[in-house]
Amino acid sequence: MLYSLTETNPLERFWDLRRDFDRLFNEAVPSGGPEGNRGVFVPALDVAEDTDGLTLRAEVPGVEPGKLSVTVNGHVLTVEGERESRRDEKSDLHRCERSFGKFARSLHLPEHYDVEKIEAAHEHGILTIRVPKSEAAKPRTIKIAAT
Amino acid sequence: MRNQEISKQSDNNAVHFVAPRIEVSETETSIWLAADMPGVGPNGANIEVNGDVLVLEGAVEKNEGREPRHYRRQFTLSDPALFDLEKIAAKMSHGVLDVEIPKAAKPQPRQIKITTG
Repeated sequence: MLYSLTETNPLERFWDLRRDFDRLFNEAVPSGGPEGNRGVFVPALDVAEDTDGLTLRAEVPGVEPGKLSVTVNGHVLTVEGERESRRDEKSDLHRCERSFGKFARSLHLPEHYDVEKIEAAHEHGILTIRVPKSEAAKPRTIKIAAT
Repeated sequence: MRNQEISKQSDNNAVHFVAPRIEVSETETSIWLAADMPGVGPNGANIEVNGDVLVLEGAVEKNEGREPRHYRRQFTLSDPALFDLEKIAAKMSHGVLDVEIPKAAKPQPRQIKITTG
């Protein structure tokens, strides 16, 4: 079964658009320039499906564990957090391609996923979320009785 | 820069080099570099100084089901004598490599004692 993702955050479209513009800009001007990519931080999110469920992988470098949360409300999964700069406020900024700030991404999970058994792990700036399929939705081999 | 991936053949395995996004700032005593390297642990990062060239590298240790990913970005220091390259300090935490390049201590004015004869 092909998995389809529904973005539930109306702002998401805007961020996608923004990212597309950023990409366009980055490709046209490779290094961005000193003020190149300053803007709102949006974690890159990969979604992969296998026979047992979904694996979501979000890149959240520099986000402290206490500033990251994963919540499920019904079948809506939300990843929220804040990326703060560690830069000394008194320092002079020469170049900034990194962005900071609060972020939230929500995904609507189809009914055949078991939202009770979602697991999340955060390591080296990557958040991995595992969403298993409900038992009934997993492929099953039917034994053929020999006569 | 994330989209600029360069493929390089090594041991028949294609390694993707990705230029990490960086931030450069300066305080009175040091130059600070911060590079986003999600997936790189404390043992996966490497900093190399060769003459006036500074290279930041990071290898993603676990990249299940994906091609191995390597971050790499190279800088040329305009005047290496301005820095104390022996004292470069770095920290890798939550996928961000923070590097401090201390500025060389300025020669302090020295008072010369005048002896009276």
